[in-house]
Amino acid sequence: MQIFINELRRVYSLKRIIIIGCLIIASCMLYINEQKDNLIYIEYAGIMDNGEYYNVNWEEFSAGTEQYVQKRIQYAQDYNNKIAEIINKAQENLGISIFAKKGSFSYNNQMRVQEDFARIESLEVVPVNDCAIETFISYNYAVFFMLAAMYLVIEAMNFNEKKSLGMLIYAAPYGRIRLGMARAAVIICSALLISVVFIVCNLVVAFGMYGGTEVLTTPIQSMMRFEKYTSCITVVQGIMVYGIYTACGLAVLGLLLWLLLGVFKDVVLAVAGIVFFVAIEGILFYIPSQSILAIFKYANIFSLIMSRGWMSSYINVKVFDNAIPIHIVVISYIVIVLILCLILGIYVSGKRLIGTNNVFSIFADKTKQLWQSFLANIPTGLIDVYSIMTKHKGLWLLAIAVVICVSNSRIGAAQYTTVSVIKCGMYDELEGKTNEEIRLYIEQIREGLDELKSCQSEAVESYKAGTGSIENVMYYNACVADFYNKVSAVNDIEKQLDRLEALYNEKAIEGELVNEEAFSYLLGEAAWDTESFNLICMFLVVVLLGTAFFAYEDEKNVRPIIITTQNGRAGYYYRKIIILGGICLCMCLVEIIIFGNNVIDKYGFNNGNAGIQSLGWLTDYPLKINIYTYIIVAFVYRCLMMISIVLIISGTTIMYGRLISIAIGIILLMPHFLYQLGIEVMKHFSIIKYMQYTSMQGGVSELTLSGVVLLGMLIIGIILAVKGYKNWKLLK
Amino acid sequence: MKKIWGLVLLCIFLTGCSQNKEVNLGVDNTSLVDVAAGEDGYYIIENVGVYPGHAYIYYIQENTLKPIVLCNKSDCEHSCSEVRCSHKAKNENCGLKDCDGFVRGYCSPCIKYYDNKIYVLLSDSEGVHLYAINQDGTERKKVCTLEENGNAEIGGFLFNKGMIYYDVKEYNKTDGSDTIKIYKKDISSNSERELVFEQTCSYIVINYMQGYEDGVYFVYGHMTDEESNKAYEENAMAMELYKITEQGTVRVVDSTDVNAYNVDDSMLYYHLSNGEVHCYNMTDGVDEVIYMAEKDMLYSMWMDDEYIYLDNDLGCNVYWFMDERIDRYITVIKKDGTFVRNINIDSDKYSKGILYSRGCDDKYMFFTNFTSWFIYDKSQLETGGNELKKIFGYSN
Repeated sequence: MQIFINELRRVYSLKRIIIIGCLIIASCMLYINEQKDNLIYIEYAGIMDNGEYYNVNWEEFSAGTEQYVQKRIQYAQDYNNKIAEIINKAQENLGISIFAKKGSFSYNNQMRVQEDFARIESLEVVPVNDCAIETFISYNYAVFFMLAAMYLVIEAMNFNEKKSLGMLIYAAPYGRIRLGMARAAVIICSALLISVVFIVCNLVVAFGMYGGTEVLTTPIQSMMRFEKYTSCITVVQGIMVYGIYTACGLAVLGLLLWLLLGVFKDVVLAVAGIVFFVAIEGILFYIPSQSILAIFKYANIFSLIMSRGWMSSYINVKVFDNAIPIHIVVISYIVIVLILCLILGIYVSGKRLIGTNNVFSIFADKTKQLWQSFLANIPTGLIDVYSIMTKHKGLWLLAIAVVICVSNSRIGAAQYTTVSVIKCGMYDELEGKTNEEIRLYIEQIREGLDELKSCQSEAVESYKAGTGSIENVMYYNACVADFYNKVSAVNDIEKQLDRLEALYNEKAIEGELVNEEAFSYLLGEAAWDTESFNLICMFLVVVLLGTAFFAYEDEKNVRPIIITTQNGRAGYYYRKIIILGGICLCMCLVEIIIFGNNVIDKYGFNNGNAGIQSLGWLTDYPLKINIYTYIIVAFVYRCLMMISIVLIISGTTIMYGRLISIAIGIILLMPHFLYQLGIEVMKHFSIIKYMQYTSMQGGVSELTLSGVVLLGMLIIGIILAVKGYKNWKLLK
Repeated sequence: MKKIWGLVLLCIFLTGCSQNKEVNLGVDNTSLVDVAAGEDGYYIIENVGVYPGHAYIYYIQENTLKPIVLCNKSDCEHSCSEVRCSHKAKNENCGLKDCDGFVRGYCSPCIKYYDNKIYVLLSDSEGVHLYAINQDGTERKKVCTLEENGNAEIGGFLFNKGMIYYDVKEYNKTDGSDTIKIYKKDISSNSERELVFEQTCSYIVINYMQGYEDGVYFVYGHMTDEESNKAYEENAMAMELYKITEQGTVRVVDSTDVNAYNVDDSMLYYHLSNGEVHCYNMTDGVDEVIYMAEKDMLYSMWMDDEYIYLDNDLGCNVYWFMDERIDRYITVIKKDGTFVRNINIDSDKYSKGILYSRGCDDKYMFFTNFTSWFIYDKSQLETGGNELKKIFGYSN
């Protein structure tokens, strides 16, 4: 017990607690950023908290909120019928020969469905304010921060860089196995602790935003997401179950990393081993549920750390024709993997592996040989990148940047309105048609609405006269409402057509009818706010990485070598600039892929060959280029801006040191923050806005200004880099 | 320790050796196209219509004729309410991600039932693959890749004695001609496919590929005149009947006018466009005309144990494209050529377009207009009924 407490104290040093605290804050900040524009949930939470959701003046709220509230009311009303339908369907399926063969999976599945759903058949479900829980559950990125925290804990158990201490432990009589057990206990407790602390913190923030704590005591089925959860538990119990699964996932990964650290005595190889394990599990996780290997889809590490996916579905897994509930499969996996990792981890931790001939040491030796031969074949430049990235926690910075970019980009691509969805469909339909045909189409939609309106009037008249049914009236009401959305969409398309014709008449530029809805999320206003967050993140990564790269005080060990090498100083300096520049270009490329992919995946990407002036907000753009070329121009511009920042940071770090350089970086960001606070004039001084390129474009003057700013940045960068180089040569 | 490891490895290897694969050498000689007859019902695969390349496999139970999506999950809605969802497997919010009856990469309506499994073709960026699905849809396995080009145009496939036969059409950009190839591949092993037939022409088609005990038959259609606009003119199109056997691919009858055929116990029944229905005894080589159908009319030809059915759907199709309408009927004859009756089908009553005949089994004849499916219950043959029953579809 004493060893356990000592280990716990050692692992949870003040430094690690502060870092874990920062991770919690980052996780909560990202959640807040994700939710800040979630208008429907904000309004829904307000309506539900008032309690009178059936008596609301809908004119005060957005159409989406009204639909959502109606959907929730409908859900609560239909819940029992829906469950009864599922049970009846299972009964009916037993009358279908292919599903009714006794002993088959289908048969067993029907029997289990009837049994499971009978438990919740008479459950009372009411509309509740579950926005906090719903958004917390659908928030993807908390798990990445939890994994980072878990890594910190395991890293504390890596004594390989402190060999003398390691030898002392090995020499201690009976100490090794006990220490191994204590460490295993610390890992399991840490997994539980991290899971609980992160979940509680995120929930506190979520309830702070949306309120509705009373949801915790309602049945979990009150949330639409958990409609098919077949156990009668409350929301708070559901969160506890979720927390336990997450903790188990963290514990499995933690124990495995600890085991691999014990085997390889090398962090890089241990992490590579974990990545390999996760990659294999990832492949298995995405196999179709109809595969004969489907059990490994659910008995999987991803099922633990992403348990909300299967917890909100009803799944019975086929195991030799038996229908096994998914939670049994997952729990079995937890038990087997945890026990295996525990036994092996304690064994490896307690066994002196070096110089012995056991299976682990042979495996570790072979792997190390392979790794060394792999490293030997890597060009020197890449080895530099590798060492710099591992030495300055560059990988961590980049990993966090990627998580933020992915999270943030998903927010931007998910803002839909009914009209925009209809419009996207229309753009697909109208592709390749002439302007005349499009106008004809627009007229047809309008005429369709007129026809439907007259049918609606007739239906109302017949109903009043007692000859027609109310269903008929409701049918036409729904059709008319649907057509209003269509007409609204064609009105927008017509305006776009008019603008294109004016463009041709005034400037002789032949524009095309492109899906402006899609492009607005990629290049337009809808993209600007979302992408600027990505760019801030990238900017900070460059500043932090750059200041670490060029800080002379970190070079103590290699300084004599650098100084004495012929041309060593210059070569070393330039190589660093090239490496950091290369990393920046890769970041820009990855960012544009992540951001673009999110948008294109949702909206598609057509008409890339159309002139950039086809887009309403770029009608005055002076260069006659197509959309593809424009994207390339914007990308190149951003890369050059990034390189200028690298040059500035390299020079200032060498001349003034690390801290001042970070301060300069933050000062460069200030105009953007001031602009975000509403000081409009600061837009013209915002480096982020220039990096975004599109948000600063308009006519000739805007394009010229962008060019001048880029040129200025590059010149300043080159001057500072040259001055830095001179300083570097003088350093001793 | 080493001995224990050795023993474990030996056990694993021996377990692997004990897996004997039984090769099914049966033939699929059902007179059905695009519908697969299972043990107690039929399977069809229909394009969902929402997103290209997506489809559902439906099961139609024989006694109720009610179509259901081949998914045993009672809680599954077989639909997705996610806005603009592309139904990719990785989308955890997609309502179709666990639906057993939903398939991605739909590229052919061809579906077969063989060796107690359903077989379909599905394509992706890596090619066109053959998938085997068990009877209740709960297991799906990629059997092999037929073509490495995901856009390859595979006309149809069939199984015969453990082999899959399929035809692929390729367009030659240089001269605008088509090349058609028929491949044979062993489905129980990873052996290379074998090219068994290849032809190049300006307009080319493989029709009615069917397998029987003595080999795989197919009608090879091609232009005799290079100008494709003469396609419907007399003798512009040659239709030749071929047979693939172990010895090679041979022409079966000396005619370039074989519109349709069927085989039963060494007796080949085929129809020529001059109206003659022949019965060719493949054992003694005797060929006789058993029935005279309408001249210059294109028929589909189907057969069950008792009757031969001549459906003029193909003729109706030709007239339809010439904006003319003719009466739709199916002539039922016995195998000795005795006329039984005509089944007159009021096409307009059931469909706005052509109702294509998709073959028959002992109980039903199947028809489709690619949005709906209809059956003709053969019990009406005795009573003189001409009614079709809609068994699947969105609307008339």
